[in-house]
Amino acid sequence: MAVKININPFIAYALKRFGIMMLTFSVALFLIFILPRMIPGNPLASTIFRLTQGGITSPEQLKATERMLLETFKLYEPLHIQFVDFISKLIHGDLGTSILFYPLSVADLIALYLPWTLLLMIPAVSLSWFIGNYIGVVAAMNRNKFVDKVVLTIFMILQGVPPYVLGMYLILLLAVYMPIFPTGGGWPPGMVPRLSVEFVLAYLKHYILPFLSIFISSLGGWGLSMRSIAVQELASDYMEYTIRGVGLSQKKVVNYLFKCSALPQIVGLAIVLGWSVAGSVLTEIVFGYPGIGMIFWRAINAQDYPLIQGIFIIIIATLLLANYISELLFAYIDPRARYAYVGVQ
Amino acid sequence: MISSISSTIIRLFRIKKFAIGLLILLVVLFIGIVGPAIYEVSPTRTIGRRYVPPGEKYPLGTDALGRDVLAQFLHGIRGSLYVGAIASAISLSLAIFLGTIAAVFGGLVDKIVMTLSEILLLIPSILLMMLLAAYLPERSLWIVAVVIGITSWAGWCRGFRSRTLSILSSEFINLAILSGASRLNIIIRDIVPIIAPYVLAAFAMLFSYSIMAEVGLTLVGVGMTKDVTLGLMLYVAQIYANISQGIWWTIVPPSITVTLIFLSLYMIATSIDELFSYR
Amino acid sequence: MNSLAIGEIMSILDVRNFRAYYFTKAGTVKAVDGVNLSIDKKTIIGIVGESGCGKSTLAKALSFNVEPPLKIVKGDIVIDGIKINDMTTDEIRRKILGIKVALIPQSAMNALVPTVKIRSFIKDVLKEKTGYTTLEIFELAVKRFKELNLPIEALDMYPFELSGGMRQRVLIAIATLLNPSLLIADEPTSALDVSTQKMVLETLYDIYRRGLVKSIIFISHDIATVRQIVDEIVVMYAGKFVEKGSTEEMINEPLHPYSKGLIFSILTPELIVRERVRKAKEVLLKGEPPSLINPPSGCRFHPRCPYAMDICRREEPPMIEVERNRFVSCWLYVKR
Repeated sequence: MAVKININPFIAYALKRFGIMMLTFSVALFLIFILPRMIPGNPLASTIFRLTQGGITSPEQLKATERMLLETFKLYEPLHIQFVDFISKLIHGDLGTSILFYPLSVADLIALYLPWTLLLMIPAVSLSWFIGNYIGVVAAMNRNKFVDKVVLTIFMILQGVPPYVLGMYLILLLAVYMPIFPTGGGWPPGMVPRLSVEFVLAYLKHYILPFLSIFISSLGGWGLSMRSIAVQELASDYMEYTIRGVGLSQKKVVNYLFKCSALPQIVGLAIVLGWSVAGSVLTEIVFGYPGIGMIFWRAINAQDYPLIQGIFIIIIATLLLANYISELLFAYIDPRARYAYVGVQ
Repeated sequence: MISSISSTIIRLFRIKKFAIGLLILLVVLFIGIVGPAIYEVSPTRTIGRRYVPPGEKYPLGTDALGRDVLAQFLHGIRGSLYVGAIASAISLSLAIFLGTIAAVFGGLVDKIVMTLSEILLLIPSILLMMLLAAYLPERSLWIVAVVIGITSWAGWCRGFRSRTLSILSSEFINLAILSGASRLNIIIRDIVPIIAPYVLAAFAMLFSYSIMAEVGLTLVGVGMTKDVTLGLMLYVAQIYANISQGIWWTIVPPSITVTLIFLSLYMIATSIDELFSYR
Repeated sequence: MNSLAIGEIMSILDVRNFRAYYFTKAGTVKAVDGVNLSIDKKTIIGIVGESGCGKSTLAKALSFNVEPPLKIVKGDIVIDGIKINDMTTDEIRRKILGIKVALIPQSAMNALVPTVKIRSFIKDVLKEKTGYTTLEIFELAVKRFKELNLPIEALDMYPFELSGGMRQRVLIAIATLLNPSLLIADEPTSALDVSTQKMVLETLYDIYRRGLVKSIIFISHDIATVRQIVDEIVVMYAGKFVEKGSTEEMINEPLHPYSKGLIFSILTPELIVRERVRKAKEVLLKGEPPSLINPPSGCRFHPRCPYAMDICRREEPPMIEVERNRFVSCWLYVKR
């Protein structure tokens, strides 16, 4: 009759998903490794060629760059040796040295810029998760009424507007025509990041617009998916019985509804947070916000391949990890899913 | 069957969301197809001073390189529509082909296709696109479209696989086979009507996704370098910091159009989905 | 059936000329169309009929589960002397549900919220209705679970950790924690296998026997199940009651042609004289229940009735008391 949850199937599931994650990561690493080397005209070789032809002024720097590029990519070695070298360096946390920001290492650059990206994305995404989901539940409770229709329309439009487009309009409106906020950057030029009231205030002023553009544009997605989940939940036998059969109070019903519907959304949140780095690239570009996205953009425009490669690896690693965590989280949090994985009665 | 199709179409049009979406899409399509033919100004040649505001001479002004923005806009719509059409055709064909063979053959083929699509789903296609595009030095409309196309089929492939599986196992197909209907007949009479709306919805979604992806790729700097698209317009505007200078005419038309295309296709796809999933 | 007998307790339920219709685009579905039902003593009443006869709609209406397109067109619902029709949804929720009337829904297996432990569910439900402290609520729950032979551990489980039958019994216990006067059970056993069915029926009967509820209305399509616990059976057809009597009388001597068909078709033949079975087969429910948008004129059963007469097509038969507490609505029994 009653079943005690046995932990073993959960671990089996965790291991299986871990295997798939590692397989995917290997495939991604392989792609990151092989693509620049396979594409006709070898872009790496041509970059090195371009560099040796000029572009970098001091001969000393040129030599160093050339040596470093060869060191990073080892193009003179056979492919399989290159691959082994690539992997062993990666395991030691060596992502090479940036061309653009020479002599900074890629790992250092990422450590320097990643916090700013996270500082932007985590609060914006989390807040929009809460508010979007809450509005979604309220819309579902009032489904097909006026409130619901208004919310649906607004959310649908929001969903169609990418954060960077919204960002462009926010700049036009609130920085150019009504110069309340600065048009871009992370802090005023000349200021150095440190923990002082002056800096924090200046930073916040630069922070608000990119924050808003990510916050507002993610509202729609959360709200719409939450609404449809909650509407399905409302039609379920148990919500029907809870509301009309035993007559639970409205407040508790919203609570229950949120609890039942939010579980899949928590997984979504984990995934989107994992997306932070990838998802903020365009917004950072539009706002000139000094995060990973910004240096990624500069790396691409300067064809700084070690940096491009390093950021790719970081993005994919965080994504896969977030995805893995969210899968486990889902299996662990949702008693229904946990039950499904356990699979016995 | 004809009458059931026409009644379905009538019901589809009764959904306001569908009608509005289709109207917007048709207007954009019309502008993209006819526009460049009527307005015969080159989108790539410098024709005047930079940043001339919209006026009589240049209806939408000029951009950072003194090029006519309206011409760019019209050609950009056309270019973006091309990218959308090519990319979605590629990924849709891949999705249908791989999904169907996975379902029909099963076994090893199924396993390979499923693992492949699972991996592709885990690595977001926009990243794969960036990776591919970052290392391609010259990027024309075709290259960008192909890159988008071959990286975005995974989710839909799974959809087609499960749909094919459920059709293959369904009662009426067995009945049709038993009653001696020809294979072609079965495909036309029974399978196509079931799959068709899904294909349509998938196409609409992929189309809008591809157009968005092109804008994203190009804006990051790994997209279009040669042909004019809405993404390239935004890229140029971004590079020359048009927004902070308040030069709205290079930003507003392409960004609004991209959003409208996305919204219209999204509305169409979701209405098709709603109509057919509730039957 | 509309006579108010004098009992030692006042009327538990009184419903007169009750009509509840669905207003749909296709037309008005007269699902419950003029029903009288009063319960004035401790009893278990079974309401039986084919699916589509309006019995579930009646259950919905009696448990105030009325949402558009369903609307109560006519008739008051009086429970324990309280007229429900005038109360707001919120008042009903706070003062009636679980206190005067409790419902065991058709889908009782899936009626408990899967993400909430039984214990917290009970707390959330009872807190507002009673104002008890959490501790008092748990004491009550533990006591009740013990009384009904339910495992106390179930309180600390999620619904999915319980078997289907256990979920159902727990639900019955929760629904009746506050000793409501009336329990409405809408096909509570239809999704269960026979042995589980028996356990659930036992729990239901246990609740009744211990006086935790005064009366039970047991709605089902399955007479074989119903007769195991009910005192009286009401047969419903096309939105109306056609016959009512004690379980024994109804099983042995159904009067209405429809009841005959329904009852003889389900009960084991050994119980019944063969001749009767043959006769019953004639009646036996050829065709479908009629559309409730355009019900047949006169007696609603006449298109399917082998004994149909002229008057059946023209006039609706009255409900007559053929014996004490034995009612039937059929022209065959009207003395003219």
